[in-house]
Amino acid sequence: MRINCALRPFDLQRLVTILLIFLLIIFVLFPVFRILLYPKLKDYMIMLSHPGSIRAIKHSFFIVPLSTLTVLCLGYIFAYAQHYTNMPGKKIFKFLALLPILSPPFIIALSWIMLFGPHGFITNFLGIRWNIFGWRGLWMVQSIAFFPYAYLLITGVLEGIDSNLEFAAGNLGAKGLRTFWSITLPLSSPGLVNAALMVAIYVFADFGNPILIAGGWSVLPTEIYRRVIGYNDLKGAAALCAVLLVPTLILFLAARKGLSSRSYVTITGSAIQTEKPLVGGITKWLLFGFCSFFSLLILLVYGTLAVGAFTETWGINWSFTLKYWRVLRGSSGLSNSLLLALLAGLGASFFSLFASCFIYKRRFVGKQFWDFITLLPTAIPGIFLGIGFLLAFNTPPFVLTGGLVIMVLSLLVWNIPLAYQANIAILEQIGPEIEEAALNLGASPMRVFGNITVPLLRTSLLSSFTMGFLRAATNLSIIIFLISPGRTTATVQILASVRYAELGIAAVLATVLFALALLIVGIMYFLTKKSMDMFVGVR
Amino acid sequence: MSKIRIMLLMLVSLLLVVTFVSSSASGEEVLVYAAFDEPTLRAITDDFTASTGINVKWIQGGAGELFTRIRAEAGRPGADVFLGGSIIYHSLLAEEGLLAIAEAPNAAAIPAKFKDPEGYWFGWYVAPWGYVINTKLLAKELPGVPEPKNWEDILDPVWQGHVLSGHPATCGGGYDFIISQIFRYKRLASLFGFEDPLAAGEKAAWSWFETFEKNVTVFNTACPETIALIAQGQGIIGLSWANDILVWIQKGYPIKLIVPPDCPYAAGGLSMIKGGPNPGTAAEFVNFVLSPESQAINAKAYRWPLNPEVSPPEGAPSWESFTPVMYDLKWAGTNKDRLLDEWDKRIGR
Repeated sequence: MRINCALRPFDLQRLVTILLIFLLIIFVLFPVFRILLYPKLKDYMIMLSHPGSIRAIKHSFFIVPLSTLTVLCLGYIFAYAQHYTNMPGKKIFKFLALLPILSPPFIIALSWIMLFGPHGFITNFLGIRWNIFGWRGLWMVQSIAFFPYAYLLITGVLEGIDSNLEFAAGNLGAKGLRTFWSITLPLSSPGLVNAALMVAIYVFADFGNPILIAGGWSVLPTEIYRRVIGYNDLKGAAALCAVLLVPTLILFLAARKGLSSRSYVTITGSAIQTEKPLVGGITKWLLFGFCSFFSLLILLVYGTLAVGAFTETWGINWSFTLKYWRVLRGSSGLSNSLLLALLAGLGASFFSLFASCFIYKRRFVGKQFWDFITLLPTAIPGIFLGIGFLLAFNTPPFVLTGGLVIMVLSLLVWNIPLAYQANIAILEQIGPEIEEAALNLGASPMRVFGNITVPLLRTSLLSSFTMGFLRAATNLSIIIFLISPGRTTATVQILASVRYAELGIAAVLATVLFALALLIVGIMYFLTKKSMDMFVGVR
Repeated sequence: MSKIRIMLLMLVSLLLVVTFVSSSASGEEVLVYAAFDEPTLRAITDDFTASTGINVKWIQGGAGELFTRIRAEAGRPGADVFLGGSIIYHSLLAEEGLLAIAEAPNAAAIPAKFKDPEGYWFGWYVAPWGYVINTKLLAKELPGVPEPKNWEDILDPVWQGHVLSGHPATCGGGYDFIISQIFRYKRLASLFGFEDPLAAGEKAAWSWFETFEKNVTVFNTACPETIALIAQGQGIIGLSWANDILVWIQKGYPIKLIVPPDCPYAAGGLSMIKGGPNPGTAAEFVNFVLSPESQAINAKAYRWPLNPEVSPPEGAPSWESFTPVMYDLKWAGTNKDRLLDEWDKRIGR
């Protein structure tokens, strides 16, 4: 941006930039390199020839395309139904579709086992027989857990399509789904590819679902976890982390390239037709049927948990009880989760605010590199980040392990890209004119930052705080390596309760965590003037 | 703008409340790594806090998992006490110099066989490992198939896809299971006059596990997970700790416990971690756990107390009705890493 050109060489802005870069080096680059350099070449060779890791790699490369494609199809149908029909209940569908973001993903796995296990509730009712453990169950659960992300990404894609073409096709006589096949789908395909790349990163990094439902069918993150907790083989685990980073990094780079080569159709400012031509008739009702079915499924998943929290013994004794709620007394897990999520959400929002103003908007040598590093945590799987922080900060010069600080910092780093991207999206749209005007009128650059930039970024800050909060509160993959007694979180407690077969306790904790997430989202919903833009960060 | 201020104010106040709530319980504390169930742990620690005013904070995990953690943290432990988990783990940690001697007068009542002579670790209860069977499901899915009575019946291919067990790297019982099969075959091998009965026993045990593995759907990360899944009908037969199984039977599920002859067993251990943050309160806690009061609470969860003054669990089979495989504690400890590697190579799940 031009405004900075005339400034003195050693000013406050430059100092802030240097400070930000310094923080990025310590908290992003250092943990990454600590992992990559921790195993010797020999350890890499051992891990790459180990039958367990080969199996896990194969499984990962099998399930990721499968789940990603499923999630994309589901998300596309849902988003299409939202934009191209006037079906009843659209708002309810939208709300239900976003619920899985609010809960730890593995909650779905837990509920899924209670419902659809080989002899679960529904399975028995329908009299079907299948083995839910292994890839089938994982596939189904991931399809629900990551569906909202695909839905949000694709909604963005569909909103970016200029409907004039679709209307034109309709006027020229295209009937039924012809417009969809010849106009809508081709136009949305670049964005769709991008969405696929992002969802694939999430699925690659998924840890909670496979650990609960995939049983012995290990994927890379669960294999890494087992190397650490079962064998204390940190070198092997680090080597496998490096292996896991390869596909996620490639996907991330591909997504970035796709984004930069795609013009920002939505924000060109030229007139764009956003009203969509509506489909009707049987297609509409088919879509309605699909959305209803899927929404009911999501309701069922969470309903099962809520019922489980008040049930004496699931499946046997259905009498009402409050005894499991006693777990909340003196339990530090929930308050820790809340505290971590607040700090990590606020921290990431603040950091990204500064980063978008003092890295993204400034011109300096190596700017593109640091811009890239700020976004890099998107590509880092949670399990990688957790082990990275463990390795990086348990020896001098930085000893942070065993406290809440390291947990906050790791979650904060993990959330930075979302917040940063949300800010950039806004900054791209508003242009520099207002800030230039203020500068011309004599305001100092810091005053411009405080009085103009921050208020302009209000929405993106609120939305990135919400998303950051939700992600931190529901995280398991990073936190599980950093807990200590009294410094545990609700998600870890839920996993432990499931392991110790205390389903009532797990259901109580999951329900409360979910309710808190819902509360935060509700507050934000009204603060952002009742828009769902708080989820914009996902895009 | 005012809305942002309001929001920030709300957040900050929420933050303060949370910090206040989480720090209000400050004061003396003891940090515990617990391979133990939540309700019993809570009952014991509540009692301890009521009588001493010392707060107990813990994280739960599989015995193998927590053992690995203590080893990894060597020198900078995150907790003061390691509670539960087979004494194999505790004795191995003592061997590696990671434990501290705890002065515990209450340990006097524990039989010498189940405690370290120098006071590095104490066994405080015993439990056998056996089958948990969902009888309702068995009758429905495999009508006419008899329940397994020993360690050979379970190898029958009829059980394929119906068995759940625990993973030896993370679930303590899974490792005790390997050890007990090795020593069961060792005894047979020495009866038949093998030159190195232990090596022959190990070989036979591995081939047993390789057959067994074909019937198993999942090796769970923690042992109690298996029982929950069987109770809910996610499999017909599982392998887990008898005490946990008895707790689940009490809840009313259609499951039963069978402890075959030559069952694995473990003495649940207790030790103080060297260099922990609160050595004073830790010793006090260890002594309390060994007291008859706490052992009586523990007996309610069907763990057979090692303190002879405490009466055995009501409604459970007597300890004398089991025939556990005796094993060499030291061998089980020193060969742990090697055996787990072997498992990784042969079973690999």
